Amino acid sequence: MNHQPFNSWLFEDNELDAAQLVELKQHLQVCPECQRESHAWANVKHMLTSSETAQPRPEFAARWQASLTARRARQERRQVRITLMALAGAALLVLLGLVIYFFSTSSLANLFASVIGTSTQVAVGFVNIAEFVESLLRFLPTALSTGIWLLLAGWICLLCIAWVYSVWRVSHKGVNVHEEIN
Amino acid sequence: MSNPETEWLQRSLQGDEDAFACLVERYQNPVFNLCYRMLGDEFEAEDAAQETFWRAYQHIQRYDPQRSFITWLLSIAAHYCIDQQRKRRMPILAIDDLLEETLPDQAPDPERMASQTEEQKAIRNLLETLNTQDKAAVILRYWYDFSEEEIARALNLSTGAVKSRLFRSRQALANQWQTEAAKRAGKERKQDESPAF
Repeated sequence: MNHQPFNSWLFEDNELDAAQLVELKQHLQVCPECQRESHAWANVKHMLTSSETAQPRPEFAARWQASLTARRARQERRQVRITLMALAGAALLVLLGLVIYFFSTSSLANLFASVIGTSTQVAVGFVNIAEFVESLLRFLPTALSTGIWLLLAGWICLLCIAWVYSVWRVSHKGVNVHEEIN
Repeated sequence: MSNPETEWLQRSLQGDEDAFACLVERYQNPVFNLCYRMLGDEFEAEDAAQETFWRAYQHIQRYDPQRSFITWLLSIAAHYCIDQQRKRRMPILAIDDLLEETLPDQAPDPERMASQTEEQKAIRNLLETLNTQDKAAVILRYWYDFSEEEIARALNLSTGAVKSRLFRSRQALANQWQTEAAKRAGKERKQDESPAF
């Protein structure tokens, strides 16, 4: 049996006109298959349209507000992570670019020689710094004696001022206490 | 939209968190319901609804006041749930516990509760036979009474695509209902035939 267009009519959202309704009704009377489908869809539609709205647990909005701070913090962390990763990626790209540049512009032997040359320069630099520090340490004792005397004198002056101030402070406070008792 | 809602929306557009919380309070049920119907689990639905409001809050400046706010919200929720379902297969969980918490306060009528539980289970089984976008289209059509054009806008589909999806879904749901009905009839027959002791 040909089920078209009746089967389509059953499942389309379009409104049927009076003639189509009569035709459909006649077909349903003689076609048990379409009748079953029509009955099934009517039941499903009823179930869907009559079903109640599911509701969240109480205090949903309060929970949402409470989660805002945490969500904001998470978002900030993610942004920081993304920025750091972008920076690291950019640095890596620059490094890669430099490596490619060096490899493409000079031979491996030249690169090796320049690496050794740079390393030697760095080592020499360290040796120079060590020598400078050593000479400074040799010169310091004579220079220090004057400095130490100056420092000691300064400290003694400071202590004297502090002693005078504290004597004045204690005596002043003692008078106040006496007044309060009276 | 009523006046307080317009005001909440205006204030939310200016970054007022409390005003947006009022909108959350107002629209929590439809958003949660959509998430629950899409995901079939209370806890996942809660997370999805919370995430929907968070996304809406973050992108409130993108909201076009000419459109309905609830349509915009439901569109966000539907897309989020579709993504979630694509990411992982749905776990099967007991629906009985859920109903106790999710359905509105009613008189404790065990028979009514049992029949509702059965009905919810049946709806969930039916919806699970559909793919995610078809399911979203059906939910928006039959729970929210959206037109095909509104569904198309919400799901970023053409109206023709929505029509064919809904047509296919109705057929699939009717077929599934017939299968379930046949199973139920078979079970009842077995019970009737079992000898009484």
